[in-house]
Amino acid sequence: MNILTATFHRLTSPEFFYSKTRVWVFCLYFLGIAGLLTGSIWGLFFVPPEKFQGDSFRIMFIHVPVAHLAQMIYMGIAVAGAIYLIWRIKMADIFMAAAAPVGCIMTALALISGIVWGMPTWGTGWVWDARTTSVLVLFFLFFGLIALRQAIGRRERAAFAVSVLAIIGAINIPIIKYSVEWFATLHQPASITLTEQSAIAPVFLIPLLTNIASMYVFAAGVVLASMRAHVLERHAQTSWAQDTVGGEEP
Amino acid sequence: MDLLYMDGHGIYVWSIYAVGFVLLALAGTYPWLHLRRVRRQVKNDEKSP
Amino acid sequence: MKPFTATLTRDVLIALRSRTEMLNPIAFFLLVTVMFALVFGRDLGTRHLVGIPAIWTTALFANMLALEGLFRREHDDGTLALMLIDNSVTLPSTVAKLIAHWLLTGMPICILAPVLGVAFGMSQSTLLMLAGTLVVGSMVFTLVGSVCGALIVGLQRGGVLLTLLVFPLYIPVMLLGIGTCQLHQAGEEYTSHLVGSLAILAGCITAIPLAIGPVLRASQDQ
Repeated sequence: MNILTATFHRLTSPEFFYSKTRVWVFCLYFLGIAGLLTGSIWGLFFVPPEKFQGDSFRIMFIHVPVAHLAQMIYMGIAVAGAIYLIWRIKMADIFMAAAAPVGCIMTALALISGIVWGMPTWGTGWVWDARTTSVLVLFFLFFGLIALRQAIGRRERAAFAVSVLAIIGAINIPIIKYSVEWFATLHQPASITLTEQSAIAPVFLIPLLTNIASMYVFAAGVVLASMRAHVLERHAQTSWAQDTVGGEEP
Repeated sequence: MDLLYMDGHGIYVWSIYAVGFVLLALAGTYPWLHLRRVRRQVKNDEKSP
Repeated sequence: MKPFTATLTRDVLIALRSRTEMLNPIAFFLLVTVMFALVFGRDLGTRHLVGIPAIWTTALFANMLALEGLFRREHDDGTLALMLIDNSVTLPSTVAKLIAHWLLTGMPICILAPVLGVAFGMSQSTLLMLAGTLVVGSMVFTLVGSVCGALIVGLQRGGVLLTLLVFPLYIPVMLLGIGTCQLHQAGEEYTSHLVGSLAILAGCITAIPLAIGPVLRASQDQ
């Protein structure tokens, strides 16, 4: 326990973080890419077509992990925002800066794949149900986080503003889900449900879980790599940054 | 060919896999470009003063 | 009570003296709603269907339009810095600013909405319901928008950014408000929607006045 907390504390030191995480990034990238390739190839070639949807369900192996990750990254950013507001840990801000673009791309991909999956399966690309709407809102929130950081020059102010926005957004998402659900009850019951799915057969579950887990690993690698770049950028003037860069370069 | 066609759903599936991997690859390479830019910057800072 | 009344009277007086700025969002609301009525007005069924959402969305955009100037003048002339120096002044004066903002943009819209609703052929009770839900909705718009306005105060190109930030936050209360009115119009049970929007208002009233001071302060210190 002591070692764990000690490592944790030391990871908030930029120098330690920068030097130690290099290996982690490589491992995470390798595992993530390998896992994603395995899961996708498995899902594309070695799984029988689904009974009702035919082959278009294979989009699920992209759509579900990406949509799941997008929400998780937003939750992570909101938690980091709270941590920043309470303890003013700079690493939390760096995490937010690094994770927001990744989340934005994931959300965009979730939206695109959802639309394309809906077209052959339900006959329409877009349904204004709770889940779709909240993912769209998530996209705007990620975009807002990035734009807000870009617009504010001073770093502490940007960190504060982004943290506040992240937390407000995190409160907003469940409210949106409920309000859309209530709003939808007023029109005729939806003939198409994107959310309700019968229990997934194990044949499909294994590649899906592979892809979800690999997407976690890959996203962690990307965020960590981005955090390293941010750390070095913010400490460019310090002696350790100059030393590491000078020493490492072949 | 059957594998590519997928009873007409192939275009949807393959385009999403293509777009997905391109976007993920972009997300994955961007931090490295960023890091390289920063390292170059730090190096220049070191030389100039 | 002094800083509260002082800020309130000052804001209202400024708005009354520089009328164009105050009238801008209201004129926008009026014109766009009339345009909607004109475009959809011919067909009675469409008119019935479109009226409530049209008025609500226009009210939302009118509010967004007014939001940018919420703290702009105070920031530019340094009043904001003074407001934030003393903790005992911050809360009453920011609350006064919010109330003034609602009185000058939210309230006129709530009064105008039922008048314009006639153009969409709404019944009298629906008009009342529309005004009532708009009171709740515009208060939430002002409260939620003020936090985002505080986040970007003093930035050069805040306008577009502000729209981007508030847009997702405005969705729930707008949907619930439109839902209440439409259910009422259809003669169905609407209590849950109404209670939902009132709950959002209650949450905003509790949390946001307290949050806005620290947010403004963080955007102040250079």
